[in-house]
Amino acid sequence: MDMKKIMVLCVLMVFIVSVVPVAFAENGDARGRTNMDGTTDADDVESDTGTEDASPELFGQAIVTTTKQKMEKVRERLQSANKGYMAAKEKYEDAKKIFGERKEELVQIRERARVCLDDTDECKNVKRNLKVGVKNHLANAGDLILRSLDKLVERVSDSTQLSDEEKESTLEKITLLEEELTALTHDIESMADDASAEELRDAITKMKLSWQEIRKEQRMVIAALSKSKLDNLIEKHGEYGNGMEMRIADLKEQGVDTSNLEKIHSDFKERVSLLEKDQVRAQEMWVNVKTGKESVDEWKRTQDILKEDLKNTRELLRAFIEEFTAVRTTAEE
Amino acid sequence: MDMKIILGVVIVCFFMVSCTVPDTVDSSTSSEEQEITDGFNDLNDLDALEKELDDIDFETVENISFE
Repeated sequence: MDMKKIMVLCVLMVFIVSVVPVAFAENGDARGRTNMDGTTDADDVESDTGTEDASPELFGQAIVTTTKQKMEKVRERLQSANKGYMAAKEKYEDAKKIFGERKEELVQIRERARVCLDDTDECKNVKRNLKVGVKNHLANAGDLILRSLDKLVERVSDSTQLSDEEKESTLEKITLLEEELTALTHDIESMADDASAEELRDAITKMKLSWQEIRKEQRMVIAALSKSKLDNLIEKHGEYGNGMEMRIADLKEQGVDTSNLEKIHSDFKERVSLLEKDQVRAQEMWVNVKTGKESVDEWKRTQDILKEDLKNTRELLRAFIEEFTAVRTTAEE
Repeated sequence: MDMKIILGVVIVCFFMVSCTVPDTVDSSTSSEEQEITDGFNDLNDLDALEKELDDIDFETVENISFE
C-alpha cells in the first residue's frame, strides 16, 4: 500500500516536473527579456491582458493564454509571409541545380565538338548536340532568372517598409521584365534543333541583354529594400535612447548608482549622432543614384558605413542591458 | 531497494529539468538588440539575392564556333 502511494506520488511529481519546462518555454521570452523602453516583455503582456483586478489564478491563466495567442499570431503571420518566399526559394534552388548540371554537360559537348573536325556523321551528330545544348543553356538561364525574380517579387510584396505605391510601381516593372523574358525563353525553346549559327548567336545576344537589364533593375530594387530596412532600424534608435533614459531615471529614484549606465548611454548618444550624420550622407547619395549621377556601388559604400555604425550601437545596447541587469540584481538583493 | 530506485529516478528527473530550463530562457539578449540582429540577417539575405544573377554566365556559349 505504502509502495503504491509512493509510486503515485512519483508519477505526479514527474508529471508536474515535465510541465515546468513547457511553462518556461512558452513564457520564456516574455519573462526574461528586458526592453529599452523600460519594461520587460512580460510587462507588455500584463498591460495587454487588462486583468489587473482579476483573482491570482485567473490572472495567471490570462497571461499564459494571451502570450500563447500572441505567439500563435506572430507565428501564423511569419509563416504566411514566409510561405511564398520559401516556395520561391525552393524553386530557385531546383532551377539552379538543373542549370549547373546542364552547363557541365554542355562544356563536355563543347570539348568534343572542338576536336571533331571531320565531316563524318559522328561529328555532325556532336555539332547538332552542341546546338541543342546551347539552346537548352539559354532556356535554363531564362528559367533561373525568372525564379530569382519570383524571390524578388516575394520580398517586395512582404516588405513592411515600402509604401503601397512603391510596391506597386516596383512590381509593375518586375512584371514587365518577367513577361519579356518569358516570351524570349519560349522563343528560344521553340527554336529548331538544327538552328543556324546566326540564329543561335542572335538568341545568345538577346538573352544576355535581357539578363543585363534585369540585373540592373534587380540591383535597384534590392538597394531600395535595403535602404528602407536600414532607415527603419536607424529610426528606432530614438526609442532605444529614450528607453535607456527611463531605466536610468527609474534606478536613480531607487537610490542606485547609475554612473556606468550613464556613461554607456552617453556613448550610445554619440554613436547615434554619428549614425544619423552618415545616414544623411547616404540619403544624399541615394538621390544621386536615383537621378543617375552616382552608381549603386558608390551608394553601397555608404550603406557599409551605416552597417558598421549599427554594429557599434548594437554593442552598446548589449553593454547597457548587461550592466542594467547586474545593477538591478544588486539593488534587489 | 525499490525505494532507492524511485528516489534515483526522481533525482534524475530533477537534474534533467534543471538542465532544460536555463536553455529555454534567454535573458541575455534584449528585443532591441535582436531587432538589429534580425535586420542584419535580412540585409545579408538581400545581398545574397543580389548575387544570384551573377551565377549565370554567357561565356560558356559566347565563344562557341558553330561552323
